[in-house]
Amino acid sequence: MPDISDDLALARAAQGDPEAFGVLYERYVGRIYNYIYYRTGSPLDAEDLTARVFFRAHNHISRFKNMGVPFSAWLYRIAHNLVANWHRDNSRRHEVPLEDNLPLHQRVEQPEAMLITSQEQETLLIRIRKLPPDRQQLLILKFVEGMSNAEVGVIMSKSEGAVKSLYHRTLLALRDQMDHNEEE
Amino acid sequence: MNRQIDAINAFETQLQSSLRPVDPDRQFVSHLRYRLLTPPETVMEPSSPFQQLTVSILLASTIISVSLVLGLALLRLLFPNSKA
Repeated sequence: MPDISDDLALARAAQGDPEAFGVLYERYVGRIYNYIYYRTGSPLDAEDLTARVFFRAHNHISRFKNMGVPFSAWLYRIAHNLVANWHRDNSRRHEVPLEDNLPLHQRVEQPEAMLITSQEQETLLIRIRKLPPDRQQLLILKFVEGMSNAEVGVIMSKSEGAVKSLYHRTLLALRDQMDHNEEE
Repeated sequence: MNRQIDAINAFETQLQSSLRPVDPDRQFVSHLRYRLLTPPETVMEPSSPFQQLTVSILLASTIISVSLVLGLALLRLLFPNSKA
């Protein structure tokens, strides 16, 4: 069962097979969690929103037929919309540095030696979270999920060339921001 | 030009080390799986005081109506020639 394709699992899940939906869930829960985690910077909110993504997908699975996008793209779109709502609802909320929320295994083990690197990473993550949503999505899909430009294009409904161009512009803009930050 | 490409490559490496995949909590993952795949149990909702009163009134009126009909039927049987 775990080896079946997304399409077959979808067809079975749409007919009410819970195990088929379980296969899709196991396949994508980590990716969706990572996406939301880096967009929100909060493990608790990432868990809450990840649960909402999968409940929404589960409740509407029978409607997902030939929408012209892969199941993963549909999940990312649900996640993208929920994160946008989350940012809108929490726009006045105090922001917690992402590095403070990293799981224990992610934290640096030699804090003194890695202090500068850690600070740079924290600054970089804060800068990334201030980018427009589509640019954040692009960086997360490329670096966290390890997707190619073509795969990112499917998720974001853009051509491979458009993704490549947006990626290049994002890198340059982000690097300029970091350089400007260092000068200050 | 080469210097710029090197700088971009170095920046990509920095991004790679900052944007590492994280593992969601296993307990969260398994609990969410259970919630998604286990249908909620059907629980009989306790009736409200208003519902209890309505049911009592309906039951009482049914008993009174049936008693009246049976009483009238009994009277007819006992006094068949009386003018009702």
